[in-house]
Amino acid sequence: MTKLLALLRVNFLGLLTTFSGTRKGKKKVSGILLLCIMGALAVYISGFYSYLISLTLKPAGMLELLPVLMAGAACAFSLIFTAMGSGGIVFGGKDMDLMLSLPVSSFFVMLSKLLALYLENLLFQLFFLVPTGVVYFLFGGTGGVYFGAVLLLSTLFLAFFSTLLSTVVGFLLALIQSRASKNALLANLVYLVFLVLVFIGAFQINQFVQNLALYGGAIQEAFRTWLFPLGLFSQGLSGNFPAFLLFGLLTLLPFLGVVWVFSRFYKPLLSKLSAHSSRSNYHLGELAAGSQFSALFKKEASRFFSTPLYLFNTGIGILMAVGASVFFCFQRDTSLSIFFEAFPGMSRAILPAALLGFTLVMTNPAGVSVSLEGKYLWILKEAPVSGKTLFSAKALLNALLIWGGGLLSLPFLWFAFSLSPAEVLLLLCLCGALGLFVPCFGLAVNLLFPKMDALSEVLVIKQSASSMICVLGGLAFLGVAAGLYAAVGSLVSDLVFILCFSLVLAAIAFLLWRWILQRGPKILQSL
Amino acid sequence: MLKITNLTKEYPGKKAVDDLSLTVNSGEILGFIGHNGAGKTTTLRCVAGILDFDKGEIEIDGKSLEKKPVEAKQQMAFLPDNPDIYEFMTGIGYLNFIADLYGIPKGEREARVKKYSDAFELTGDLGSRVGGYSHGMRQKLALVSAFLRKPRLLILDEPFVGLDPTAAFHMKEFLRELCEEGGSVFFSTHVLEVAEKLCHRIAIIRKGKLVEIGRTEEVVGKSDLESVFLELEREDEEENG
Repeated sequence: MTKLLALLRVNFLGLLTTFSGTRKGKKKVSGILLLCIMGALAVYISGFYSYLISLTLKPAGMLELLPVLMAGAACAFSLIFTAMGSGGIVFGGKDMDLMLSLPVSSFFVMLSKLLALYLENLLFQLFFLVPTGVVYFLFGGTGGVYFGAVLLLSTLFLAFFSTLLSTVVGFLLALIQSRASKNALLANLVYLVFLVLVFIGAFQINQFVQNLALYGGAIQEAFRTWLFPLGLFSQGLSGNFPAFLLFGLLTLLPFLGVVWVFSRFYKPLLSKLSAHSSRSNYHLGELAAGSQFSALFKKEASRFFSTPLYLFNTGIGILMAVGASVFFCFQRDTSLSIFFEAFPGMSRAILPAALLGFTLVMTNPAGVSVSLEGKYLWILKEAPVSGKTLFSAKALLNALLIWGGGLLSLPFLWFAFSLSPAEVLLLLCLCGALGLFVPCFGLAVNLLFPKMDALSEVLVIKQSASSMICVLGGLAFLGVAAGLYAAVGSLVSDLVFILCFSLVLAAIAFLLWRWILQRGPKILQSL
Repeated sequence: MLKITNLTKEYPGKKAVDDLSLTVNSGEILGFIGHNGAGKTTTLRCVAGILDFDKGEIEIDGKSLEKKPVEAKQQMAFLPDNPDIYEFMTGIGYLNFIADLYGIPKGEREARVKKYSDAFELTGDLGSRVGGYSHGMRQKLALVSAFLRKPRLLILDEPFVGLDPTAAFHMKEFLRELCEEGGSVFFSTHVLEVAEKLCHRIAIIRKGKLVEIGRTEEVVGKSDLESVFLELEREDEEENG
């Protein structure tokens, strides 16, 4: 047990310390603070959706379904957040030499890894279900202290289930990636399908919530049949404690089963996953020569497109922009038409501008590009490359992705929102400005909060301070713009507002770029 | 070719390199030896431009590493003791990347890649991703990428670790060839026999300070390098009681 606790501590601390920067302790960001930000985000999402669902459930007399539905949603969200990460953390094999050489059974090694993930999921479940409980009581839910206690206890069990799910999905993704190591395109396609399924599921959930009252009977039937564990959970919340305990067992036993199965095959699994296909029949041919800049740019692009985790975590904004633009084309004559009839004075460009801003600001590979150099940084440091060339290559890739995403989305938005040529031109300006701002912001943040010693790319891309600040900071910046729009939007036309916002973005980008060129090389040298 | 003047590098609570000065002349191989933690790697990494230093001056071919880093680095190549190379690249992709960074003309790069990768028996593996390479193969790839640049100054940190005997033999040949063409080599090693046979001069570092430097035969005298090294260690222990 002591060994298990020691391993668990190492693995969990490994997850937590990925939040902190490494610049001599001067710029350390507290892991706790960032956990609080994540928690606040989960609380907000959960509170908002709990409220919306309660508005539908309460009149239909089905409020007791709220915690069960939100528990399902929490598992789904946590699957999305941790599936890719679990592939790297559990099956990445970075600490394989150490772990497999320790005098500890492989069951304990696997258990410690999954329990570390479990603790992460448990925090997420808590952040998600506590607001649900509050909303439930606000809407007059019954059960009192018993209900509250059982709901809190249920997070312990639900976290087992979400850990199990994310481990299995993470394993499959790791397996596909390792099999497709010679073909990044295939791995990227698999990830793309996974994300598209997630998006489709999200849209289905929205529709499901809207018509929830109609599905009451079907839900109860599902709880009696294929969703009977959730039925047990529901009965447990209603006062049937043995049913609740049975529900707990039904989450715990499969979890232990998965630990046992994976631990039995951990060594061969890791060996297979870490085995790289290689061939020894290469013949030298002509080599293409290029400039320093093109070499660095190609390197950045190659890393971006050959690492599905990097591609889909930092490039997801483009998928969302294009996906949402296509989606709005189908809403042109229905929801959008009703919306604009309700707000006759509103410019048709403001919604697409918000959409482009929200999605493209999340397209930020530059925000972790310095951290990703990690142990390879010596190559760039010893090379005769100026800081300007180096940072330009990193920024250009990010800018091109944003501009490309914008250009792909604009024709759909043009059609969906019946935009005028002037409005399209303004949106083009906005995309241009975002393409300047986002990479500069990302690079500056990453220089200030680098994470150079992470064991795995997963930790840099998904959980480092820089990656979170880039996304949340970008969104916060848009939030400020939205606030300004609410405050002064009536004084200037929407088009002028978009133009001014684009100019402000470009001006900030210019200042950030100057700072990067002045301070960046020195900071890079000190890493 | 390389001039280090009063180099000082401090880590919190420790002076890793203390007022170290030395030169490496054109056509010369300088071996850098010392016990673990003596400051060899720190010195080499400072010279390679990877680490900042607190005091002193480093000049490569007359160009200050601090004032003209790009020009100074253009003249040299560095091989760390454990070369981590981009795992998402193929071997040939990495070599071409390095050739682009150093502006090596197309025709020359093809000839040089062939010469060095053939010698290190790596050519057949150049089409595979570096992620699948063994430690020795990465070491060879890093060596090919270093020789490919035809550097005026080659800095190597423990270059013999992980190399098979054939590769070690070829490396020594290429080091001599580089010196014959006017280049210089500055390398650290724990393999004293190799240092004794290969180096024109030897420098010994202890606790960050240079304690001995001179022509190999002068440093070694009538005994061997191992005896000299152990004698210096004993003196050090006696000084510290």
